[in-house]
Amino acid sequence: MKEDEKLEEHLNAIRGLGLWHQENEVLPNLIVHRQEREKEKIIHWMVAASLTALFFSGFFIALHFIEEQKIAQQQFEQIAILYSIPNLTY
Amino acid sequence: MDNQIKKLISGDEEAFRSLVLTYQKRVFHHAMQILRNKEEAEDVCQETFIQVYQSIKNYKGQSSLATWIIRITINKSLEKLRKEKRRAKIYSFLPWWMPDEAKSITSTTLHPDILLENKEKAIALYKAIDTLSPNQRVAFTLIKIEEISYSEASELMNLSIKAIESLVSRAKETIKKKIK
Repeated sequence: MKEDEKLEEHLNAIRGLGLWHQENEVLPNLIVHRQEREKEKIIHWMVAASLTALFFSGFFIALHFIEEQKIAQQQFEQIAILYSIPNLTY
Repeated sequence: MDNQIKKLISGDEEAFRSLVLTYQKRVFHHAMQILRNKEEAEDVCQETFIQVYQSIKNYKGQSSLATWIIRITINKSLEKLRKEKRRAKIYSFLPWWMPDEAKSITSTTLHPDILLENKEKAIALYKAIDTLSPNQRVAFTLIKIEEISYSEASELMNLSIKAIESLVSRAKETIKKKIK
């Protein structure tokens, strides 16, 4: 009971104080804040798009390289058959 | 649906400006009551209105617009408190020679209307409140300091009345021990 009374005493010290006074207006900062957020979002998407593009470019370059190697190999094979070279290294 | 809400949904800038002007003091007050740090409360204020602007389309009118906005404020404040707790934990692992920013995180701004003879009590109580978990802190602040009803607090915190009662009771026990 004594503890409850003590708590009430402490609570009464900070109860009913009225609204906190705000020094800075929300509205002007809000527009800046919102623009910053939108900029951040755009940058975020641009980075994501660039990374995706980079990934796919790498993927297609690798694919192209493999394809070229296959073609070269086929050409070597054809030459080997054409000129009857038994152990052509390629 | 209310005309103002229809205007907000359609992206009317003027309606949004008037909404900010109407609610900014209440939003700041709630954030300040929970966080007691002006910069953090101002941040919450900004984030709340940005969230309102972005999600007004999802507002279904189940609660009043004021309740919906204050609920966003409380959620944003809770997020800040959780982040602070995590940051404080990280700082507690830092060696003694590192700059102690954790102290500035928990700095308490006292309400200017607190009487001089009550300042010590207020500081002791706020220190005890700082040790509570974020949910307990918010529930205790709403019920015991702002003196709102349990049903209102349950609506604002999106928790059952039983859960709020339990949070407040646990918070009370902790605070009583701290201010002995």
